[in-house]
Amino acid sequence: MTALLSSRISRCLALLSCWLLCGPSVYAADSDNPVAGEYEVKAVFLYNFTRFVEWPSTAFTSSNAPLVIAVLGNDPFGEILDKAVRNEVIRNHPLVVKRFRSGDPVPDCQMLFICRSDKDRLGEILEKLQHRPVLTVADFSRAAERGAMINLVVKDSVKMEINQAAVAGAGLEISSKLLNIAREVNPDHTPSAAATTP
Amino acid sequence: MTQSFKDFPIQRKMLLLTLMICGAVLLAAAAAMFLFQIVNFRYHFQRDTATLGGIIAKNSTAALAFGDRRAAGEILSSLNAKPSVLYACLVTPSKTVIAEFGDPRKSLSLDRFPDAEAFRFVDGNLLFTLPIKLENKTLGTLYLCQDYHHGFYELLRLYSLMLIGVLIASGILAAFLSGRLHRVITNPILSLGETARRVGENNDYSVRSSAADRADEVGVLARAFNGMLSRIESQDRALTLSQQKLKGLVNSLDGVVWERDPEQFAFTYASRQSEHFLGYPAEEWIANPHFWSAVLHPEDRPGMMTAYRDIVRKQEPYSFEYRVIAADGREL
Repeated sequence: MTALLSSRISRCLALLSCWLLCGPSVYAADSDNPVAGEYEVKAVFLYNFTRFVEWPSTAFTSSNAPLVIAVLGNDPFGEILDKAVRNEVIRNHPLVVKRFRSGDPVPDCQMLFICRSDKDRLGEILEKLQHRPVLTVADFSRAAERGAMINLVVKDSVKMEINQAAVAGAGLEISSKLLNIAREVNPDHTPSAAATTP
Repeated sequence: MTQSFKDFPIQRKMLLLTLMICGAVLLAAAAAMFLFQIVNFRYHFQRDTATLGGIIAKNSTAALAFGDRRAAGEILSSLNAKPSVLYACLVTPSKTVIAEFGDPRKSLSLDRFPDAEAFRFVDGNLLFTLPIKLENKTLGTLYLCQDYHHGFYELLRLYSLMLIGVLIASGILAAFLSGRLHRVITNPILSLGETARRVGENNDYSVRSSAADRADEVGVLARAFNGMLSRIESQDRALTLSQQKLKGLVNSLDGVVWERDPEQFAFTYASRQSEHFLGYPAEEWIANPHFWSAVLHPEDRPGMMTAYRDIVRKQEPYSFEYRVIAADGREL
């Protein structure tokens, strides 16, 4: 079972490295169908976040309750994400993917991926989530500045922007290793940001 | 010409013995330490490499999980602080090198590294393979190559220098201390030897060894030596006295008392009366080995020589009558 899991993880990572190494060329080659490479990588990123982020015990109803990854809006992953997390268990919590339509009430989950379709509702969604231990992830411009905890951006490869203030405010802990490879972003409404505004 | 050890003076012998013992003991101790250090160095080198690898592995989990080449490269570049690291690389499970450190020319084929988490010594380098895991899932592998020989030779050089230094210093110390301490033993023996030399050179039996007041073996030897000297002295005195008496007696006789070598017929002793008898001083009797045949009357000479040889061979008492020529030409 473990061997099977490892081999699957290895496959994911191999795919990820392949995409990262060949980078823009593969992406460019697939430009007619940009979802193929990019969301494969982003799905692995979502899975990896569960390993580098710690949720408080209050985030779960029980010690072996599932860790829910909710996708809100028009799902760009398709079954890629389901494949990436299938049969995975993180710290005793099995990973589960749930999908919600735009306009649905903010679901009960541990990680919330806000799709580009809900870009304009970001403020409203975050307001409803306030202080709940939910890791918010988005993949559109300025999402982190606007209050999402992690924003996935595509430059020559997929990069992360982390809004550390938002993460700390929700009672989550992000591994310093993850912070090391991400770009830290200050939210627009912080006092420091306000102070620098004339 | 080299002197053999047994002919060396006692003091040098003791110094050499001390130095040899010290040297042997030091060498044995140093060899043991040396061996220990070599084993210890190897063990610690492996442990250091494992620690270093562990730190790199821990730090690079996120970089590997998210395929961040730049971050992985930065993590490996921290190995700059350790000059003994020749090469390192992070490899994904699909065998893609995600980051490298060190001179690529020095890079070894990854086939030469161990397959699982293990060490391997190849061409004086330590190769270390460490699978990088996060929550029991392998994210990739760290390959680390450290220069083992350089550190090892550095240690050998340091230890050799230290050993030579210690040997020299302890040699000097041992020589100094033995010079001081051995006097306790050698001085009485040397003084005994000096006393014996004086007795031998001057025939002076009145000297005594000063080492006789010691309670050790040298004291026993010195007392025995002094006792022997006392006896020789008294016997010598008695002998001299009796010799003087005998000389007086012999010289007062009206005749010549002599002593001759039975083979060569040379006189070894002639009493004082010899000068009155033939006119030659006793010294000349002894000095000239052919004195007897020279003074014999030429007509008696061949017969006497033969008769004398017979007598000596038979070892019997004898009485001969023959003619001799005195210094002034008289025939007696």
